Amino acid sequence: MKNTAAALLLLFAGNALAGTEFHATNELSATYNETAGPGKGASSLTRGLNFLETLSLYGSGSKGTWDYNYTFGAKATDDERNDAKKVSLTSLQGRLTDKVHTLTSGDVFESFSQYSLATSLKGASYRFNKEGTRLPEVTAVFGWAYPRWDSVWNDPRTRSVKRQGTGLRVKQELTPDLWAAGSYVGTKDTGRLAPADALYDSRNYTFDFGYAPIPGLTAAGEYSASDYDETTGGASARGAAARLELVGDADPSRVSLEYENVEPDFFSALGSATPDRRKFKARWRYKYSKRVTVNFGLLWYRNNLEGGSAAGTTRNWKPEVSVGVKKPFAGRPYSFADLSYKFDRKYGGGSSGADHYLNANYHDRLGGLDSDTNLGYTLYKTKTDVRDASELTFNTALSSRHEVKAVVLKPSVNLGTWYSKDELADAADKLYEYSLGLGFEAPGASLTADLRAGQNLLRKEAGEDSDKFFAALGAYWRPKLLARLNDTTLFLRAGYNSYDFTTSASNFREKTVTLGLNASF
Amino acid sequence: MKKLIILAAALLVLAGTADAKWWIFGKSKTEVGLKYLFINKISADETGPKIKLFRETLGADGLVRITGRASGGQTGSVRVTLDDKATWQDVKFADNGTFEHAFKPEPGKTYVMLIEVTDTAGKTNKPEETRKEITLSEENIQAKVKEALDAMFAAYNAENLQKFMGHVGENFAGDKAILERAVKRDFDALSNISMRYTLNNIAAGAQGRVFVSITYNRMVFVNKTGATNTDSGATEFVFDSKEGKLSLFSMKQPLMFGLSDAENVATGTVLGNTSDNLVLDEGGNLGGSYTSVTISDADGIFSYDMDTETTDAAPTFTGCGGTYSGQVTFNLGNPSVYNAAGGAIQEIPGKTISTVTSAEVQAITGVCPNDNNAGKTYGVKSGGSLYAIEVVSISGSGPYSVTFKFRKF
Repeated sequence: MKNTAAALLLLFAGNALAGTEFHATNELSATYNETAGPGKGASSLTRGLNFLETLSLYGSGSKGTWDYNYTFGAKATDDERNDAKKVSLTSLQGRLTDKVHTLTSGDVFESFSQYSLATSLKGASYRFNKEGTRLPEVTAVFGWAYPRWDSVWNDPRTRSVKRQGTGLRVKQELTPDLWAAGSYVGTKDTGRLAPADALYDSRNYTFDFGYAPIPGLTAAGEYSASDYDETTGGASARGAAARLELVGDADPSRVSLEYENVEPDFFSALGSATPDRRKFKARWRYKYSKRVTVNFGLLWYRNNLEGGSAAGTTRNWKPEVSVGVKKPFAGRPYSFADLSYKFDRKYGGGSSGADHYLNANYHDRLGGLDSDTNLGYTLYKTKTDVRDASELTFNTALSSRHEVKAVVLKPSVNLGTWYSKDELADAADKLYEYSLGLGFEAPGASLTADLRAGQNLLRKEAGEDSDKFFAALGAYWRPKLLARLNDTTLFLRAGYNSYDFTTSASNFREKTVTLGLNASF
Repeated sequence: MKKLIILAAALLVLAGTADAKWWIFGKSKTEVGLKYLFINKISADETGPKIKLFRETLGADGLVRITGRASGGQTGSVRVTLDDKATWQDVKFADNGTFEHAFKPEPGKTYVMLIEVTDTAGKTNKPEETRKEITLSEENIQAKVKEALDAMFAAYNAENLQKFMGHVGENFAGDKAILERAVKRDFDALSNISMRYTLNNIAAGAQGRVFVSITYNRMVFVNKTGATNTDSGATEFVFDSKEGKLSLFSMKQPLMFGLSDAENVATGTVLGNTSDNLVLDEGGNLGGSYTSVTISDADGIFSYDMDTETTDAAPTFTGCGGTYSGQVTFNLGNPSVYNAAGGAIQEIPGKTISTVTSAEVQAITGVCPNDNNAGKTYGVKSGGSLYAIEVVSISGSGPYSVTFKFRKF
């Protein structure tokens, strides 16, 4: 496999020279981190000097009736928190088409449908699509569902279960308004890492369709049947999943209705599904006037569809309503208010809760001052004494813009508080946040910068209090010296965080400085 | 289930035949218009007024394809402009009103597209209703993915729910409403969130979808306890390319966002997932990740069972390989740490409980090291399972005290 990748790279490199279009982006940065204090082990920064290098190439061209393009990406770092691998391939793809036949190799992402194939494979695909004819569109794909290229060469640090996937999809336009498709996706897992790793041998047979019967109305849906054998636990099961969505969209309304039923034993190795869930969802957006928009939503779902769960069935109701008003005050042209109420009702399966979420947001421009204020109230209420709490959040941000000769200054202030009263523990927690910021722009010198400093204070009636002081600087300069390159930015990012706790043995501080260059053409 | 499908099918048929427009207020069937319009297979209803495309999401031919179908009377002509009505091009159409137009865009240039449909009676649609500004971005998809992830991570770190949800697509596979409530609960339970990532793998599909794999590194404060917690690992996202930006379509375990309802938010688990997932329970407590244990023992010799989380202060077997599966034996006076019968325990240098991977544990072969010191991380193989232990501190000389973190893969 390594040799194949090397051959592909050489092929792409050759193409790059002869290509009619070629673009490259490279970013190299060096970061120096320092941590101090008795609790420095809690920091997520890697101490010392580390680098991160990312490269991305794209090329395209044509030869005769064939068009091609390719992408290549790589990353290098010596910081294990950035990546366990020092050098790794981040993308590799080549595509070739004569407008009827399309061949893709490398990173292949053919999304058949949500339940059947919605992930990328390392392999190849072929598509036949002759537009303007009644012939069906046919897509075939083969590859391995590795999360990254390093897993392909079985590197011990990034090794994963080997999941081989094969898929075929035939899509037919039945009428100008209706298409339907049938697909098969099969997977086979080998090479477990741990003895307990599950290895699946699965098959998904899927039917999906799209229909636009009248202007503004679309319908889409799919049905997928799965059949799998799992060798570690010796289990075999069959299941099905179905979903149907109707969307009516024309001013002033947009209505969507969605139904989904995913059986507990439904399994999709390469698709996206939440098993054991029946869901119904309705949303209605109504533009009452040019200024007022109302949104209604209702979501209902439950689990334990076959009654086999020892924990019982949990049902959820989540209705919500929100109103957005542009210019709620006639004399305030930049004002906007949004009010929302959401309710969560969950019951069954040993739990019962009713949570209320109320939120109000208002933004406006007062003279030269932009303001954005948010006030939220949440009531968590459970009958099973898991969580009975009321929470209040308040955040406001004020910012302005001042031009001083060739320089633009953007000062800003953020204030926030969070108050939580835990009724079960009979304790109240408070979080206070404030920060001051200054943005700086010098368009003539192609320089922008942002400096921000502030503090977060967590005060607990019972437990550990904590204070965080932070300061962060980001500066970006596009030097004229490098103007030959299409887009080049030299950047500096620096940060200081100081964490102090009631137990001083946990205190620690972090300093970080990153200097980098991003160049693209 | 079958009844529902039949009912839905019947509704669709009726919708197609009857003038059932209860959801569209004020539209007339005789008006000339567009039944549907797609730009590169994405419905124009879903794109917003500005469409930003990326080279990697176009086909290998680099073309933008506009497809649609005229509605109203018999179609007489279809025209398209790409320069805001300065010039118009005739578009070929079929008898049933379907049409297609393709063009090769230049990077960085904005094409103002409008479609004009005229029926044989001379009535035309309102072209302004079809106005779209189409741009082929000069950025590569990697830069765009980075921009989307940076914005999501920044909004999550700043606990700004509104901004965060602005990056989530309406068709989010786990359900957008469920994710929104889960993220809101995350913000109530956590503070001082600090998350960073680097990209592992990006794959753009012709349908505009983008697969992204990342390595992440995270630190959070848990409000309920005031304690910090860190973890790291690799996870995957799928984005939809719509409305000129990438919007989140799905996430896998380990989750970055929506930890409070992981079961409903995530659709799948990353293959080779090497970290326990950080999750929040209903009460806002942090679960998953690792377990931290402090044990005091008079003679410093005891065994600990990582499956049952129980301590045996006076184990029957105290030698190397003398305990049962899932157990380790500490001898704090020596200091040493012993594996169970048939198992293995070996230091994994330079690793912490958060950064050690199951592959590294799988590779160990050593047994019973006699160098158990604070700050070391060990891999443990026992009874077919993999564990990791990080010894945080050892103190005392009888009684002894040890604090260690452990996790099961």
